[in-house]
Amino acid sequence: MLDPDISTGDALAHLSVAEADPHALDRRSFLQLVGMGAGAGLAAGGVSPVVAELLDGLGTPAWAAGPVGPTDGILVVLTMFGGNDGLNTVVPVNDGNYYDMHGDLAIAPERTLRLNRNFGLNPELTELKSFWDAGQLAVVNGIGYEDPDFSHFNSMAYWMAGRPHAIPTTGWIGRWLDGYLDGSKDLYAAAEVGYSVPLHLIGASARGTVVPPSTPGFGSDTSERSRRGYQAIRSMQSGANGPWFAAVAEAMVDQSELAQELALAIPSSDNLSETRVVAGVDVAARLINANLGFRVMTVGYGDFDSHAGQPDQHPVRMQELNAAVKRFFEVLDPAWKSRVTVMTASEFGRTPWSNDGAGTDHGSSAPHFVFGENVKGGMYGRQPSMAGLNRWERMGHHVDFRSYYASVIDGWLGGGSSDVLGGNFENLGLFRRGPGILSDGSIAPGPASTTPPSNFVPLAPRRVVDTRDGTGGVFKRRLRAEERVRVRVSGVGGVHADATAVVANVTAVEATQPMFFTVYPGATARPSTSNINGGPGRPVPNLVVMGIGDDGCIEVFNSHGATHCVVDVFGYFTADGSGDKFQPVDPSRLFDTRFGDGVPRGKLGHLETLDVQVANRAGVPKSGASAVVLNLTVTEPDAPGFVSVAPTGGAAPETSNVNFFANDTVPNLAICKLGAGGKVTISGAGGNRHVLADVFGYFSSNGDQLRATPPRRVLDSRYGIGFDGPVGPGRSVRLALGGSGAVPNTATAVVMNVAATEVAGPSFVSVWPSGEDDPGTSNLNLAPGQTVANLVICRLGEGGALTIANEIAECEIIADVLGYFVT
Amino acid sequence: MPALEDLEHLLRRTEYVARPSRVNELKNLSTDAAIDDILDVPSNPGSANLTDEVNWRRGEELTHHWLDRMAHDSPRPIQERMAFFWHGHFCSDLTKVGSADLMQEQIDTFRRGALSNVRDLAIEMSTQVAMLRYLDNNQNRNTSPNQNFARELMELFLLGVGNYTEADVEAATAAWTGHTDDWRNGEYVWREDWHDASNKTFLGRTINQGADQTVHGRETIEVMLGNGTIPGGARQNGGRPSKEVAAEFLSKKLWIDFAGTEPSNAVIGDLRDAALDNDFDVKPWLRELLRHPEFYTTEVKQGLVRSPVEFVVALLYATGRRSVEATPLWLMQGMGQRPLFPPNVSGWKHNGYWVNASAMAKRTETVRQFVWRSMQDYWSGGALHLRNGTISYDFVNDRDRDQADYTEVLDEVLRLAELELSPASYDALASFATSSYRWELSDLFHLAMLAPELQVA
Repeated sequence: MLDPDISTGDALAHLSVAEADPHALDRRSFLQLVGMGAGAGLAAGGVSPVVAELLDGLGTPAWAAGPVGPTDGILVVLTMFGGNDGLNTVVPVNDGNYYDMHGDLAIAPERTLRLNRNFGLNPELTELKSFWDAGQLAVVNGIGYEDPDFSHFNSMAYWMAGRPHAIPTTGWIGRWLDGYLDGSKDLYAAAEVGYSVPLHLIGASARGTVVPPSTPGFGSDTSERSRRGYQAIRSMQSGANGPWFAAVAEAMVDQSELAQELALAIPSSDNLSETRVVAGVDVAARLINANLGFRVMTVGYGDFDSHAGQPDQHPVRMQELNAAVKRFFEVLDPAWKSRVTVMTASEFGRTPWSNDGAGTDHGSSAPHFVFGENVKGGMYGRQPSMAGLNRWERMGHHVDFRSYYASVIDGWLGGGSSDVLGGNFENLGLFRRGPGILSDGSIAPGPASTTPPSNFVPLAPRRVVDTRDGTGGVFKRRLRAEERVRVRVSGVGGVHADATAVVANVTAVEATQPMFFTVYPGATARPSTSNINGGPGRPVPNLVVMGIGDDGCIEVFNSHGATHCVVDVFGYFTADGSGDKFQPVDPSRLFDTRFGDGVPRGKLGHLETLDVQVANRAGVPKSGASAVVLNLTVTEPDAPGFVSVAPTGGAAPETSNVNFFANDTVPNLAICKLGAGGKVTISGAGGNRHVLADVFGYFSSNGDQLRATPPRRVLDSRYGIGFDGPVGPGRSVRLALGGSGAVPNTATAVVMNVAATEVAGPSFVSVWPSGEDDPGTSNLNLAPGQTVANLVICRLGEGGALTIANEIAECEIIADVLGYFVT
Repeated sequence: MPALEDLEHLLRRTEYVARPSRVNELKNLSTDAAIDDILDVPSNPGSANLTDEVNWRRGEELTHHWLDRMAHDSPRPIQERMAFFWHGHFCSDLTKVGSADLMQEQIDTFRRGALSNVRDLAIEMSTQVAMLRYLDNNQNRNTSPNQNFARELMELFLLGVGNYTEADVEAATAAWTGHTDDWRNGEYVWREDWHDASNKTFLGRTINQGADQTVHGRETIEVMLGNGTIPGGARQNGGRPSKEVAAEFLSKKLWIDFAGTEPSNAVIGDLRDAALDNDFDVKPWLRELLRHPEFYTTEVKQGLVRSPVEFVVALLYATGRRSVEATPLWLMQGMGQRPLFPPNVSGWKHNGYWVNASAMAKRTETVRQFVWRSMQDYWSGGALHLRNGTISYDFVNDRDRDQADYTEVLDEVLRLAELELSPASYDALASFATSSYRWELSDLFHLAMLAPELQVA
């Protein structure tokens, strides 16, 4: 006997095998399992980054391959519960039978949004009409199945199962997930935005997640007090015995993990629509934007069961559908548009004959929509005939719903329809291009993602791009305004092919106008951040620590005028287990040629070199350190020139770290491999100058790992972002980053580009962990009228915050987070 | 005399919570006598007294009144549990019905008839205006039949899907024409001019031919639970007596509701026979269920996930709060179950349905609200009220983080809430308690109310 209570039957069937599936693994083993299986290109999404960091006591989190790949399609399924009146959705405007049978319910041709000679959309569906006009709406007519069932529950069960007339034990997306996840558990692969797991998301081993269509509540707060509470829940649940206790325990733990992740995407200050489906797609779009790995999102709403009072009901459902489409694409990051397709479903259509009670009864076939940037717009299938139908007769169908699914599975989700659907069904060819492909055949830039925790591998400095001479295979001219240069770093100059992030000094040379460079991961959308502020007259370098895009590149964008670009690589980060971890130290002076601390006193001259002992000094251990993080400052030069830092004993570097004019005081952060005897060599050319350096940390086998993030502005005192400027005497910035959207509260240190502008007078800017004493070091040296930037790597202090101070003359401060360290 | 463990299991499933007072009353009786006591419901249980003028708030009053009955007021909570079962079975929704008073009329019927006879209950609810409105039978007329009610009466209420043909649906639809309501005052109206009195064949019997046309509709129920035969053209059970099929259908649903597991064929057979032997009287049917050996297997006893209503009842019991003081009704919707608002005509689901991250997120929020509302007195200098007493501000204030005696606060909460926790749950809470400050009592209370022991019955 087919249980009408399908979800229950399925949940029971599913949960009763909980012991045999990965749910039963303890989370540590599970994370390790996922991590072990994660080679490059593997599809598994793994555990969300933020969540894994927030789990206490898990040790080093393990990682799957990055979330959604550049040519992975994402599917959004909008289900209309109750049986949508397809005839009033895609109106057959030239079919007299429709007007006879639907009577007063029928929509006059002139009221429809005309698609072509024979069809018009429901007048409420203006957003879908825009997709049609753009050639991005596929209307698939006459979808149904043989021997249709007129029970809501049976018919919806068949649709969700993807198998008509079979006892529905699994759903079509669930079986797709089975193949996609290959047995691993993943909270972030497919989700229903709602309150329970629908049948279509239940596979034989995989199971979709449920995310509420609301701002996350309990579990989203990351204060120490709350986290103790989550830990208590975790411990309570760990002792749960019996299948139901265990199932409840699992769900309790999942919900607090999800809430922590969702809190980043849906801040509790945001208002979601009161309309359920609009709120649902809003949440779906935010989760897609967050790039957690979701490939399928489903949202359902109703009630479409218009037995009576259809004129008051169906137009409202259509308005809601339209509002949902509008909201979804408003919220969706444009970087995802070529990767997202939306489809509709419903358990059946309605009878052609109205029932005179101003309603229609359970019908059979109906049209459905598939839309998105890469959908090949047009009419598919065929409108079934209504000729000669009696009161209780239903229309036939022309497209089996399994063919509808197969078209999406094979055209958009990477294939496998015959496994999922248990047979071969016609692919209707609904897509113009594959996911992520633009009309010119190129891959659309994607949103960047945060890299897995990575270790540092220092390299001998190496120039990888120089537009002055075409080094790196780039053009041999200046970058123009709004132009970018793609800098290949993976597999270049000693950087490993699977590197996650690169440490490079990027220099703006021979700029024709005041300008900035924005550096960002390759094949991702350009962020509104900046790294190097330059202008005519002098080369301006700045260190960047940047996640590497899926294409193995980073990109350098030039804002104004024409500018040459030079990129020198000093090392890379990797998640393959090699390399060293970061150990911050209290900033301290390593050497200063003005006073002879640790070096001979006196300026360095043209081509003069200076070997500086680093190991066993300034907090760096005697052995075990592979590289040092230092802020290198040139002061009192008598003529222009540059300074380089490189490991002692290597070839003379062709790179530079600090460029200066006469009388400048210019700092730049450097991360340099330690050479023979734990030393680095300072060299350079041009004017005689003093050089000094402060150590901020070093890399060795113990310490923290980097997670490079998409560059993100966290402070702009000009516009009141993070602090209302200016910054000056008595007005220092306390920048709380830990637990903010940019940086989780488990971060130990941040990597941040700090820039000063609108400088009122000579001064300097210092950054240090909040709650601690001013260490007396400086990060930026300011001169009136200049805009200067420097990379800062700084421990997070009390409350996950940093202090940024400038005690002499006012300026505005801008800060962009590029990454953070986690233990 | 039942084992204590079995008695507590029996009470959790029939009275929501194994109340110590009830354990004491029943523990010296035989199992059969204990079951008879549990099933000995009052014949005149009374009704809610709704006072607010606004329909929506009358609905809230009705809900709070019902939750209080479940948690505190009913002498035999199985009556409320079965009333809620029928509410989720023959269900209606306040939004569509549009009147709390009509919902109350229907729910009072379910309560009064909770353990009576399915046929009587089905007949009575069919022509109540709540149902006429909810499934559109008020618009079912000879000239424009509306199948909604007639179809669900077979599919979801009495027979189960696949046990009839479309012709049976059309016949039943005709039989039910003419029962409608007056939209102005919500009164039942019989419209003979709307009735289709032509002879029909329904489950192999000829119906719709008697002189009293008002009973043509109920004949469909009498046939389904009487001498009907599942037609050969149906998808399953062709040729079987329809009353057997109905008895199996309802037995399965009852079993899943109380036991949480898929019933074995033996269980289905035993319960079906109990239903048929007693002509669909509910009390002997339930007695058979509750004394069935399979009701005491490990699998069944291992737990039934409390539905949101059952969870709220357990919270109300533990805290001793009246529902209006503590229950955030709007959050019950988010948890997935708010009385008077079933999700659709198939009612609510069971057990595993409630287990997912989204629903659990709403449970944690519900408990947080519940705790905040329960602690108002404490925060204004009074005390934390629990089922069996209060915890004073001073009692908590004298104990603090990193002091061994802070677990005394936890012990007091558990004792006064009549909560017995597993060692793992207790240790987790104790560890939280010893690292929390005295002003974090609400956190401790919140966590204690989220213990797995409160989520599973």
